Amino acid sequence: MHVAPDSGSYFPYSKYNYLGQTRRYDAATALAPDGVTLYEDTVLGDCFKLHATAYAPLTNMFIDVAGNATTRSVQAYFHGGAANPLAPPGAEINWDVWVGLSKAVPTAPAYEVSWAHDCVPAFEVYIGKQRIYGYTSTGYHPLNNIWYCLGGLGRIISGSPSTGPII
Amino acid sequence: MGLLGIALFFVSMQAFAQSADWEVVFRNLASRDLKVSEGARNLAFQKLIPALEAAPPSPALDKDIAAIAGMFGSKDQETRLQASGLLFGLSMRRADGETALRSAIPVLLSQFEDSNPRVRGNAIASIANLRPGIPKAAVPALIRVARSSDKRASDGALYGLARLSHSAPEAANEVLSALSSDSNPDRQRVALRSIGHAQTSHPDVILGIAPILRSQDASLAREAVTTVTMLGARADALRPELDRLARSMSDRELAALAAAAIKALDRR
Repeated sequence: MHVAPDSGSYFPYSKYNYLGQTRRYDAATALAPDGVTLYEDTVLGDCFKLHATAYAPLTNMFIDVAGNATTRSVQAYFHGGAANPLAPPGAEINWDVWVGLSKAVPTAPAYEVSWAHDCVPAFEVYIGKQRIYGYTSTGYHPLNNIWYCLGGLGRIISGSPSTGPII
Repeated sequence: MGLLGIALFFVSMQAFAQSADWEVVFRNLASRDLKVSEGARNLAFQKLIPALEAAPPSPALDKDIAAIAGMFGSKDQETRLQASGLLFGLSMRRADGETALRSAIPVLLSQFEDSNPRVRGNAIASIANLRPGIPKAAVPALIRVARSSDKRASDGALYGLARLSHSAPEAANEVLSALSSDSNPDRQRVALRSIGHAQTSHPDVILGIAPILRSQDASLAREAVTTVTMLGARADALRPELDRLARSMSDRELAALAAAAIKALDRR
C-alpha cells in the first residue's frame, strides 16, 4: 500500500496486497529427507509431490484509509479474513490492525499501531522496512491447536496502542 | 452417611463438576492486558483443551460442553466468539464430535443467526464438520443458511449439506441446485469443492457434475475435473466425460487434468 499522508489516497491491490499461492503436497513423496525441503513437479491432481495449488480470494480483505491534512496524520485500518482455498470451508485467518502515522512534528514522524488477530499464524507490520509489530505463533499453540486459533479462541488483542518514531 | 457414602458423594461430585469456570476463562482470553490473556492462553491450550479432547463422552463432559455453549447467551460478542472458537476446534479435532458435543448441538444451530459473522461462521462450521456424521436435524437450518447472502456462512452450510447428501435427500437436492446455478458460477465452484472435500458418493450429485464438465467456462470445467480427481472411484460414472476432455485438442491444460482424473478413477 502506498499512502500519501496528506491526501488519504492509496492504491488498492498494489503489489503489497498480493497473496502467496497456497499449495498442497503429497505427504509420502514430497518431503525431502531433511524434513524441510518440499519436492515439486508440474503435474497436479496426481497425489505425487506437488498435488494442488490455489489462491485465497481477496474478496474479504480490506484496507480503509483516512487522512487529516490539518493534523498531518493518516490512519489505515487493515482488516479481513483469508480462507484456505484447498480446505473445506470453515476456518480462516482473521486480522484487524490499525496503524496511525503522524507528522504533527514534521521532523519527528511517529506511528501508533494496535491489533486484534488470530493466534495463528505469525503477523508482522512494517512501515517501509521498519518492523513496528511482530508476533510469532509458537509455544502454547502447536499444530494441533491451529483450529482453535483459526476459530478466534485466544486471539491476540492489544491494549493501548504501541507507539514510536518512524525511522 | 457412612465413610463409604461420603466418598461416593465426592466421587460423583467430581464426575459431574465442570473442569473450569468458562466465563472467567473466556473473559481472560479476551483481555486487553496481554499478561492476563497470555496466562489464559497457556491454561486453555496446555490444560483445558487437551482435557476436553481426551475426555470420553460422559455426563461430566456434557456438563462442560453445555457450560461452554451456555456462553452464547452472553451479550458480549468477544465471549461468544471465544465459546464458538472452542467448540469449532473440538468439532474439528474429535472423531466422535457428534456424540461428544451433543449437548451443544441445539445451541450451535440457534447460533446460525448470531449477529456476529464470525460466531455465526464458527457455529455453522462446528456443525458441518461433526464426525462421524452430522445429525439430520441440522438439515433445515443448513439449507436456510446455504440460501443466504452471507457467503462465508453459505459456503460452510453447503459443505455440511454435501456431507449429508448420502443420507438426506433434501440435502442432496440443495447441493444439486447449487451445482446447476449457472447464473452464479461462484456458487457452483463452492458446491464442487464441497462435494470433493465431503467425498460425496450420492449418484445424482455425482451426475450433477457432468454438465459443468461440459461448461464453456474453462476455469469452471477445470474446477469440476479437480473435484472428480478428489472423488476418485466414487465418480466413475463421469468417465465418458473425462475421456472426451482428455482427448481435447483445444485446451491442453484441461486435457492433462482430465487424464490425471481418469487415473484417479482407477484408484481403489
